[in-house]
This record gives sequence, structure tokens and C-alpha cells, in this order.
Amino acid sequence: MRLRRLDLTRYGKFTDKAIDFGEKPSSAPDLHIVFGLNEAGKSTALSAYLDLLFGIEERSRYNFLHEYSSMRIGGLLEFEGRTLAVSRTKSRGNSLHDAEGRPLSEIAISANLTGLSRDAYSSMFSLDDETLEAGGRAILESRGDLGKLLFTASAGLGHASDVLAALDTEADGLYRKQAQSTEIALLKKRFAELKLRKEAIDTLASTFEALEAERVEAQDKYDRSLAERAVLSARLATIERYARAAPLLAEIKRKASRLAELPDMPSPSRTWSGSVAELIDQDTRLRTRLQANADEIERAKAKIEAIAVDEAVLAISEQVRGLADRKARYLSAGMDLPTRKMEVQMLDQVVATCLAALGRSAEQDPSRLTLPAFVVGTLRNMVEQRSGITTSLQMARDEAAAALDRLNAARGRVGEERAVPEPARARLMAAVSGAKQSSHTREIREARAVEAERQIRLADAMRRLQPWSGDVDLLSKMSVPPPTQLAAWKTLAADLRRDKAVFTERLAEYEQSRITTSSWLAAVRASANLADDETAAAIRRERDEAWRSHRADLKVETADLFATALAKDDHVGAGRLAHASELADLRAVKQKVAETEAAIERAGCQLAGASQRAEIASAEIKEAASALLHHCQAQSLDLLIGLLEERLSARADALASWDDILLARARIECAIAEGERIHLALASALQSVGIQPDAGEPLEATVVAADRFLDRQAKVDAERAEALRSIAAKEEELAARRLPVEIAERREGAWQAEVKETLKGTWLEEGIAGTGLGSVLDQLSELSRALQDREAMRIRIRKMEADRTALAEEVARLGAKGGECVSDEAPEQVSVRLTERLEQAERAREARANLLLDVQTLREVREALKGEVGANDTTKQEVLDAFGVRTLSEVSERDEQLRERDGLQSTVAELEERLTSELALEDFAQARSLLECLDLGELAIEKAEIERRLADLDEALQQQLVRRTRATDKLDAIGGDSQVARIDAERRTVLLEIEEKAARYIELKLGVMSAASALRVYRERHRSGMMSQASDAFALITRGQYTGLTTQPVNGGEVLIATQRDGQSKVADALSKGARFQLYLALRLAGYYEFAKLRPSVPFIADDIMETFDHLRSEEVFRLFSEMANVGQVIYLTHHKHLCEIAKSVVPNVVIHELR
Amino acid sequence: MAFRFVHTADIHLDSPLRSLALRNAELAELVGDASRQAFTAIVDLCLAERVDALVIAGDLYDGDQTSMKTARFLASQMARLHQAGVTVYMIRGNHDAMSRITKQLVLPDTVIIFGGRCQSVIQSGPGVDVAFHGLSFASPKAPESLLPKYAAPQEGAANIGIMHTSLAGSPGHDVYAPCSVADLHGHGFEYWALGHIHVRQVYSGASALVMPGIPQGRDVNEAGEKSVTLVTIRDDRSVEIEERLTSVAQFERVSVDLTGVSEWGEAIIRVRAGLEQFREGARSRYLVARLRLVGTSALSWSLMRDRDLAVAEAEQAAEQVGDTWVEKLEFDLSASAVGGLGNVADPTLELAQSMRSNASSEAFRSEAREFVLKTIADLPPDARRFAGKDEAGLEQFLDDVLAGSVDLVTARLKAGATR
Repeated sequence: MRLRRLDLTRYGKFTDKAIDFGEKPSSAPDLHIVFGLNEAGKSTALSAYLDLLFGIEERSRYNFLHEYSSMRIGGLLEFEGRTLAVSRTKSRGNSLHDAEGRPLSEIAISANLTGLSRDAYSSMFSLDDETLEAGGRAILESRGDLGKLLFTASAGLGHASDVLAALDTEADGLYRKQAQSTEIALLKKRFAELKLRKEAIDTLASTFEALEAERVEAQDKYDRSLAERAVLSARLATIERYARAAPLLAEIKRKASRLAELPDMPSPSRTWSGSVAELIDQDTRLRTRLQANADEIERAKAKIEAIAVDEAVLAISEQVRGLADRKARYLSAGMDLPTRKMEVQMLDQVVATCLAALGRSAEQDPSRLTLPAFVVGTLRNMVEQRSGITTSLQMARDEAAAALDRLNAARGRVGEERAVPEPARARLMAAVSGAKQSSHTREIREARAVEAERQIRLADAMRRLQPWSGDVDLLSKMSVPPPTQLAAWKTLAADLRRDKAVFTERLAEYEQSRITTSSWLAAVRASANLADDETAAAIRRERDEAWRSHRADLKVETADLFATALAKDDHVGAGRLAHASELADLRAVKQKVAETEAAIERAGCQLAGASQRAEIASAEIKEAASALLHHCQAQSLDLLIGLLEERLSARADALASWDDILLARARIECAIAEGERIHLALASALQSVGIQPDAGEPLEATVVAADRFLDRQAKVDAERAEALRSIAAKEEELAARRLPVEIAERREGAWQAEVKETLKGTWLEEGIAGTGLGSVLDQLSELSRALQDREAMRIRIRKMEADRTALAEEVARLGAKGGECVSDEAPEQVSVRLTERLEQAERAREARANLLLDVQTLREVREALKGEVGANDTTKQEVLDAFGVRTLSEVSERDEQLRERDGLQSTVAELEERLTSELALEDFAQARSLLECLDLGELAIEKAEIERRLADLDEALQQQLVRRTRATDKLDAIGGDSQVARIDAERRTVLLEIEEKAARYIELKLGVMSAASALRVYRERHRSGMMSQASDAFALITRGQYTGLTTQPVNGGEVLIATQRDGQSKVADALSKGARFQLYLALRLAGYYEFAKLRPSVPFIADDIMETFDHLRSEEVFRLFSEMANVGQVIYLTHHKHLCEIAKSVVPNVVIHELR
Repeated sequence: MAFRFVHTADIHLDSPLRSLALRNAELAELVGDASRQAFTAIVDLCLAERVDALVIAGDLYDGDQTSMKTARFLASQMARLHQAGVTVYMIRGNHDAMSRITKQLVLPDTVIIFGGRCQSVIQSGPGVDVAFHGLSFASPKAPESLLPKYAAPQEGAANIGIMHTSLAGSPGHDVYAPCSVADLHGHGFEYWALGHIHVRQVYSGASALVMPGIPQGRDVNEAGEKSVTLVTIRDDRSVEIEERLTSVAQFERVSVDLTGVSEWGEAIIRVRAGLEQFREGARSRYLVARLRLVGTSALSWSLMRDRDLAVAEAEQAAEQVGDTWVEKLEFDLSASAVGGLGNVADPTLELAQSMRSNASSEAFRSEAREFVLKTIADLPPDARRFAGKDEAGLEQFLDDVLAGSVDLVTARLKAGATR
């Protein structure tokens, strides 16, 4: 197919634009360049072309100017010399039309495209930067695999290897044998987990069966035990009843025999109240009380007779009681009196002392000395004021004296030392400042440091020059090679070093090759067990020799020998014939060995040449720098040059250091001269102020002396000024202190006058000093207090003595009345005795009255008791009559017997009732006969047995109950929930997932296997067609850097190898990036030829693929395109003007279409 | 007045669903016990319709079931029927014969299980007496017809036969007590309550023959709605049959034609439309679809390459439809109407052709077969059946997987080129 014209009627930015490629040129290549700047619409045109062939894309981007409905493209297509004008609109069906606008079937075009789809077309027959890049990468990833490369190039794909690798990876993610983390492995794990979970909660039918059996058996046993227990329990109850009844019967019999012994008379009816015992008791008690009453009355009368009363005392009872209070006062006064008298004497003493203190011991009436109260008050007040006045006066006087002292001291300090005149001092100051500002000492120090440091460097440089020796002068005069010469030597040395490395590497490579070929040779030999040419020739010679000898002798021995030789030769010949190809290999290998040996030799020669050139250069250097390299033993050229460079640099260092040293010495001299001038100036200035410096004193010391002098002068001035200021201040202070002294003295005088005025008219009017006034006042106040106390005490003593006298008289009078003898006894004792007698008399009178009352009461009681005794006797007689006995004690005995009899009778009746009901019989007679027939011993044995059996049964029952409950619980716990069913569902799903993943895994793996095998088939089918084309194209495009392409079998496949001009070869994936692009291009071109060989060609469209190519490469590419254009139409889209020119220079007939 | 009963069979209680859609936890929660839900629905139906009896024509369990929880559940449902006075007539099927829990179950006395000899039970209805004839074969295999063992019809009663049989045979079902429809018609019973085949079938004729099918499908091979039969026997012994839906979830194969579609979005719209159409037609609560994309579409390579994305989109579409899940996505698409002819210009198609010829080359197949067997050997025994139960199955699997792998590789190469 060929594109004659492309009509861009309404498409993208184009309206009614057409590109006319014209008719196919008859003798020139059908190559077209469409040139347009960026945005001119090159990509639009390419897209329009594909849309024309395959229909406008569903979501075309080229509707920005013309709507989908109005989009239209067209063109003139050529098929095998037939032309077809078509146009295309955008619609779902019938989008293709012929020249007349009639719908046209898609087959009109597709039939000529041999089933190419849009995708396939654009990947196979268009090429741009991106696909070129991807193609280059694909070569790298294919690892040179020929099948993949051919396929990649033919299909225009850049990712075939990627796709297969990705599928393989995907498959490995699903499953790998014994891998733990693949998806299937994880699912298997999940499956196992679910199984465990199910087992944990499920109850299997078999388990259920066992549980149910257990439950039934336990129930059965339980029921049987229960029945047996009931029977035994009943029997046990019966036995127990008999056991309880037997003692009852015995009791009844015992009671009956007792009854027979008791009297058989009716019990008397009771007409009295209370019991017989009470009656007896009452009788006795009444008689006893009557007797006691009589005794009591007699005793009371006797006591009354015995009591006597003191009437005399009772007559004065009131007076005696009145004595008590007065007697107490009498006693206490007697004790107090001596003390009070002592106190009066002490007060007398105090008064005497006070009078003495006041200087008035002779005063007869001390009270006359007392001052009036208002005088005392005024004086007290004044005494308090006095101390303040005295103190302030004293202080003012002290301060004034101190101020005067200070003034005198200040006056003494002025004017001891005087200063030197100002002009002389100013001159000295100027000289000192000049000396200080001068920098000559620092300069000397710095220059000396520089000199020392340069000396060290010089020594170091001289050391580096050893073994050469000599002074600096000699060194500077020495001749040395110029720097340009040195550079030339270095370049030469580098070249020689590189050459040597290259030759050595090459030699090693050839050695390796020799080893490889040798082993290869050995292998070939061993594999076929072949005789090589020499061996074969030797054997042939042996055979000919044997024939000759046999022919000469014609003996049996020689015949045998010949036969053996012949057989051997035949065998070798046959072997070589059978392995002709190996033989050929063998020869080739041998050839290779020979070639390798030659190469080794060549490389050796080259190495030797290099060494020789190095030696020549060394000699030259030694000659040129003989002085510096005096005894040098350097082994190699490089070392020698290094040494020379080092020596030269040392020499340069030494000379530079020497220059610096000289400079430093000059600077030092200059600085010393400056120092001396300054010293002189300073000395003269010092003399002018009167200081004679020492002759040999250094400048620094002189400066210090001058400084010190100036400092002292300044201090002297300051001190004088300060002293004068101080005197003025002290004088002012003294004046200020004298004023307070006067004020204080005035106040003192006023006080003295006031005191005098106050004392006027008292006994103190004349003669008392101000200071004694306070103590006089104190003594007067104490005297007045003592006089008062003494008067009060004297009055009390008089009252006490009057009291005592009154009591003594009263006691004497009463004692006479009461008959007491009171002659010389103390009145208080008489009083006590009277009081005691009065108390005794009153107690006796009261006791007699009480006894008379008691006798009266007792007499009343005796009358009442006599009445009670009479009533009791009546009742007693009644009881005795009822029982027919004589005494009350007989009555109580009889009564007891009758009560016992009645009790027994009712007890027996009750026992009989109980017995009958216990045995559940109708009457006592039956019960009695039943019990009398029983053997109680046997019953006891039976009972024990039954009890034991019952205990066993109880235990068994409990066990069965537990078993049954346990089984029932477990059965109940099973439940009808759907948990297990749900786990089963989940397990089923996991299994399905495993199946799905496994199927997918198999699909992926088989896909990869099958694709690999299909790629091999592809290779076989296309290699011959494509390889020579690709090889030529590659040689051309690399401008002969590579001579072509070849292949080499590797295990299971074949790899593509590029051969270099120098005979070396590289596997495709080892090529440089640029070379890979070129190889991909070459393969694509070959793919195009391969396509066109079997089918009508289609236009090939390249879109600016030469961005990275240089001028020469671009030329070659156009040359290739021009060759391709002989097979089919080639259209190149570009925005580079220079490419158009290159194309024109290579292919003069190229047609350039400019797109605007 | 009339005698009414519900007829079901092949309940396969607690036999799990087999669908990858259950990977979705939500769906697993909803239908993880679908067979129970279906059985509960049957009992609910009996109670709601106040029927006189429930007939279960075999395969109440699956042979694999060993959990007594299953038995307990069954017992509880039987107790409900017992309380409502519904008699249950039950025979054992081939799967029941294998079940271990059958023996352990204690059921109310209103549940009548027919034994190894034919037995006839008469139940008096309000207007008509009904005789149930049944027979349980004790072994999982019954190569001979069981019909001769059944009693003759009872005079004056409506006769109902209960039988587990594969009839004349059905794909996917083992042969069991084979028997011809004609023979059954000729036996003189009013109604034959059959079981064993999981697809509902009604054979009219002299008597009513009903194979009710499984009441809850378990995988896509048991697709469609599932049901039981409500039978009314009128006083004149005429029989009326009604079908009642029981399936909770229903499986469907949904085919979506993508011819002419060239955009993803459009493809998804078509998928959703296809699912919606099925959803509207399906009466079961949940729909589980096996989606198959067919037709000629430029999108085919891209769909096959990005299969994961396509599955995710389809699942999302199903979610939008509601109560619908996609269990699997299958492709039967071709890229263009012009197929690969002899002289293929496109090297990718040439490669595909070469791979296809590999698939038919015995050398390659034997290598592939060996690989498949080796892979399968490392899977759990229950997960090996996908590669075929026998040799023929394996070959079929190989055909499928090799064809799939050609499409897979081609799709990756093709679709990758336009990326």
C-alpha cells in the first residue's frame, strides 16, 4: 500500500489542508520528509493517517476546532498500482466513503493490510523517540536472546521480555514449592486452621452415641437401685416399731403389780381449804408467836426502871449552850496578842529611822514634818524635768569642744611639700609620650622572628637537597633544566606508562586465550577420540611401511603385521570420516592456537620497545640535571622525574628563604638607630626637672623613672587643694556648735528659780540643793505611812484584852449555879464540863419515853394472836374427823397413798393406748400377744444388715445420678446452631480459592513456557531473512565501527553478537546505549524488509528519531531509509531544518513537504 | 375438604455452598447456612399452610456430615412439625445411607421413616384416606429398580409413592435405583414423590410424578430458583400441584455481550445492566452470578490483561444492583471480527498462533501435563478436582488452561503496546 495524498479536510487545527506525496518515483527511492516547526501538526497528520485507515478514534483529541460530527479526513491510497480515493467521518458505522461519497466497506482497506490492527500498525510501522528508547532497553533485557530480539523488532514492541518476566513473577507469588508466603501456602494454612476450629467446637456422631449410651445405662441402674431401697426401708421401719413397743409392754406389767399393793378406798371429799401440811404448820407458828410476845413485854419494863436523869443541868441548858462562841474568841485572842505587840514595836523603829534620815531625830511630833500634797506633786514634776535639762547642756558643750579640735588639726596639715614648675614638667611629658609611641622595639622583634623562621626553612631546604652540599651562593649559581623541558619529560613518561599497561593487558588476554584454546583443543580431541592430522599421517606411514615389507617378504608374519596396520589405519580413517565436522573444528582450533602464539610474541616485542624508550629518556634527564641528581639511583623514569621535581622545588625554597633573611636584617638596623635618638631627648628633659638619670640606664628604665616623677607631682597638687577646702569647712562647723550651749544654760537657770518658789513656807524653805530634793520627798512619804500603821495596831490590841475578861466572869457565874467547883480552874475547862453534862441528861430523858411506847404496842399484839389460835383449832378438828385419824401427821401419810394409786391407774391406760397405736392394732390384747411371740435378738441382726445395705445403695444412687447428669449436660450442650456448618462453608470457599489460584498459576506458568517455545519458533522462521539485512544496516549505521552481526548458540537458544572492526565481538546486551539504539533501528529495518518480502509493503513513518544522532550517523540513517524507500514508502517527520539538508545531500531525490 | 402435604427431597442439610463469592464476609454471613434457612422455610411453609404431612424423598443429609449439631437442628425443626400435628414421611437416599448421624437421631413418633421393606401407612384425612408407600435402601448404591418392591395401590385410598431414584439417568447424578417414568405411571398410584435429581421435573400422565429438586442450590451447576411442591389431594382423589420458592440464594450464569464496546466505562455499564436484568427476574433473596463476557470488542485484550480491575468493577456493579454478588469473571471475547488467518502480518498474533500449535503438540502437552500433575500433588486432596476427575477431564483442563494462557500472553503483549 502507498499513501498518495492525505486530505486533512476538517481535523484538528487543519481545515482543507492536503499533503500530496505524488506518484511513486520510477527510479528513485520513495522517501518523503514532512517538515514543520513545533505545533505545526506533524503528530496530527500521523494520527489522521491512522484514523483514515482504521477509523477515527472514539474519544479523538482532534475535535477542538471541528466537532466530532463534522470531522472529516480523506486520501488517495494506492494498492498494487490501483488507486482508491476514500474519505472518513466519525460515526459508529459506515464511516468510510468512496470518492462519490458512497459508503464503502472496511474490507476495501483492511483486505490490503493483511489483518493489521491499528495498534499493530502503529507499533510495527511507525517509530519515534520513545519506541527507540524502549527498543534499546528491550535489547538489554533480552540478554541478547535472538528470538526475543527479532520478535521485539518485528512487532515494534519494547517490552516482550518484561511481559514474560512479569508473568513468571506473578506465578511465583501464587505458588512456589515449599514456600511459606505464597498465596496458596497462606490458603493452605488457613484451611488447616479452620479444621482445628471445627474440631474444637464440634461433636461427632460417634461421640454422641457414646454419651447417649452412658446416659441410658446410668438411668437404668439408678431406677433399679431406687426400687430395692424402698423395700428395705419399709422393713427397717417395721423392725424399729417392734423395738420401740417391747419396752412399753414391760413398763405396763411393772405398774400393774405396784397397783395391787395400794389400799382400795375412795378418796375423801375435801371441805377445807389448803393442804394438811399447811394446817400443821399454821398451828405450830401461832403458838410460838404468843409465847414470844409475853417475853418481850417483861424485858421492856425492866429497862425503864434502870434509867436516871440529871435535872440540875437541864435547868441552865440555854446559858451553857451560849458559852460555846465566846469561848472560841477567848482562845484565839490569847494566841494572837503577843504577835500584835511585836508589830507595834517594829513600827516605832521605822519612824525613828525616817526621822534620822531627814536629820530630825529630835523631833517630838513627827507628823509635823509632813508636806502638803500639792507641794509634793509640783516637786515630783520638777525633779523629772531636771535630768533632761542637765543632759542637753552637757552634750552641747562636748560637741563645741570637738569642733574646735578638728579645726586646729586641719590648720596643721597645710603646706608641707611644693611642686616643680609647670613648663619643665610639660617638656618631660612630651619626651615620655614620644618614647612610648615609637614602634622600633616591635619592629626589631618581628624582623628577628622572621629571620629565625627563614633560617629554619633554609636549613630544611638544604637538607632536602642532600646529598648535594654547598652554600647558598653556590646554589643560586647552579644550572638547572627549564620547566618546559620538565613538562615534556612528564608527558613522555605518561605515554610510556599507558602503552606498557595496554601491552601487558593484551599479553594477559592472549595468554588466557591460549589456555582456553588449549583446553578446548584437548576437549575436542578427547570428545571424539580423534586422531589429528599428524597422528593420522603417522599411522598411514606405518601402514605403507608394513605393506612395503609384506610385499618384499610375503610371509605370514608380515601379512599379519600389515593386516593390523591396515585395520588401525581404517579405524582412524573411518573415525575421522565420521567426525568430519569435529575434525574441521580441531583444525580451526589448532589454527587459533597458532594465531594466539603469534599475538603473544607481538605483544612481547611492543613491551620491550616501550622499556627502551624509557631508558633513553632517563639518561637525558640525568645529563641535564647532573648537579642536582648527582648520585641518583632512580629505577624508573617516573621516579626520576619525581626526584628531579622535588630537588628543584627544594632549591627554589632555599633561595627564597635566603632573600627573606637579608631583608629582615636591614629592618633591624634601622629600628635600633631610632631607639637611640629617643633616649637622648628623654634624658635631657629629666635633667631640666632636676633628676639626673644614670648614664647606662636603658630607655625603658628612664621612661619608667620619668613616669613615676610625673605621677608624684600630680598627687602633691591634689593633696594641697584638698587641705585648704577642709579648714574652711571646720570653721563653719565650730560656729554652729556654740549656739546650742547658750540655750541649754538659760533653761537650767529657770528651773532653779521655780523650785525655790515652790518650797517657800515649808520647813524646807531654806537650804535644800536641787539634787537632794527627790530623796527628801521619798523619806517624807515613808514616814507618813509608818505613823498611820502604828496607830491602827494599838487599837486592835485593846479590843482583844476586853473580850477575854468578859468570858471568865460568865463561866464563874454558871459554875456556881450548876454545882461545879470552879475555884482555880481555867474558865474554858469549866465550860467544857458543863456542856458534857447537859448532853448526857438530854439522852436519858429520850430513851425512857421510847420504852414506854414499846410496852403499849406489845400489849395490843397479844390480844390479836389469841383470836387467831381459836379459829385454827376449829379447822384442825374437821380434818381429823374426815380421815378418821387422831393426829395431823397420820392424815398426811394416808393422803399420799391415795394420790399414788390414782396416778398409776391413768399411766397404765395411757401406755396401753400407745402400744396399740404403735403396732397399728385394734386392741391391747392383740398387741400383747404379738409382742410376746417376737424374737428381739433376731430382729436386731436383721436391722443391722438392712442398714448396711441401704448405705451401699445410697452411694450407688449418687454415682448413677452424677453419671446421668454429666452425660445429659454434654448432650444438651451440643446445640443445634450453625457454627460448624458455617466453618464448613468457609473451608469449602478456601478450597475453591486454592483451586482458582492453582489454575491461575498453571495458566501463567504454561503461558511462559509456551511463549518461550513460540519465541524459538519465531527465531527459526525469521533469522535467515532478517539477520543479513540487520547486519548490513548495523554496519552502515555505525559507520563501520561494527562490521556486522552474527549469532552464537547458547544452551537452549541463540544470542545475537555484534562484531567490532578490530575483530572483537560483543553480545547484544553488552553494547553501549547508543549502539543499542542503532542495533534496534537496524533490527526494525530488517523487520520491515521481512514484512515486505511476503506481503505488499505499507508506508513506514518515523517521527524525529535522530535527536541524539550526530551529523554522520544521521546521514547513514537517511541512507538506510533511502534503501528502504526502494521497497516501500518511507515518510520522515521532523522539525529540524538541518535534517532536511542532510537528507538532501545523501538522497538528492528526497521530497520535502513543508507543513504550515 | 382435602388432604394437603408438602413434598421435598435432597435437602443436603449443612452441605456448604461452593462459590468463590463467599470470600465476601458479608455474603458468607448471610448464606453460610443457606441449606438450614431453606429447610426452616419448608417447615414454615408447612405451618403456614396447615398441611397434614411433609414428605421427604431422601437425601436429607449429605454423606459427609458428621456433626451432631446438624442432627440437633433437624430434631428441633421436627419438633416444630410435631407440635403442629404435621406427620413427616421420610425415606433415606443414597447420601443418607452414608451418613453417620442418621442412626443417632431420635425423632418424635409423628416422624415415620420407611425401612428396607416396603411399608404402607394410611393416614385418614378429613375427606379422603391417604396411603403412603415408602422404602429406604440401606446402601449408597442401588443398581436395580426398586419399583417391584412397592405394594399395589390400596383400594379406597389415595396412594402416594415415595421413592429415591435417578429415573432414566441425569448428568451429574449417580445412577440410583433406575426406573422408567412409564413404569411409575403404570403402577397405579395417584402421586409419586420422587427425589435424587436436583433439578425440578414434573412428569404428567396417569399419575403425577414430581422430582422437586434441591430446595437450595449449592453452586452454579445448581443454578436458578429452587423450590418444593405443595400437593393437594381433593376428596375425589384428584391431585393439584403448586411450586413454592425455598431458595435463599440463587446461582446464575450471566452472560454479557460486549460487542462494539471500546471503553471501560461502557463495558461496566453493560455488566451492570446484565446483572440488573437477572436481579429483576430472580425471586430468591440473594443472587450469586458467574459473569461471562462475550462478543467482539476492541477492549478485549485490555479487559483480559487487567482482569483484577475488571473483577473489582464487576463486584462494585453488583453491589450497586443490590443483594447481588459476582463469584467469578470469565472471558469469551475476541478482539476483532477478522480472525487470525493463514498469513498473519502481526508478529504478536503469529506468536499466539505458535503457542496454540504448542497446545496441540503432544510433546509440549506431555510436558505441561507433567507440570500440572506435579503442581496438583502439592495441594490438599480436596482441592485437586479442578484439573479433572479422570484422564479425559485432565485433557479438557489442559485444553482450557493452554487456551487461557495464549490469551493471557497475547493480552499482555497487545495491551501493553498501547499503554
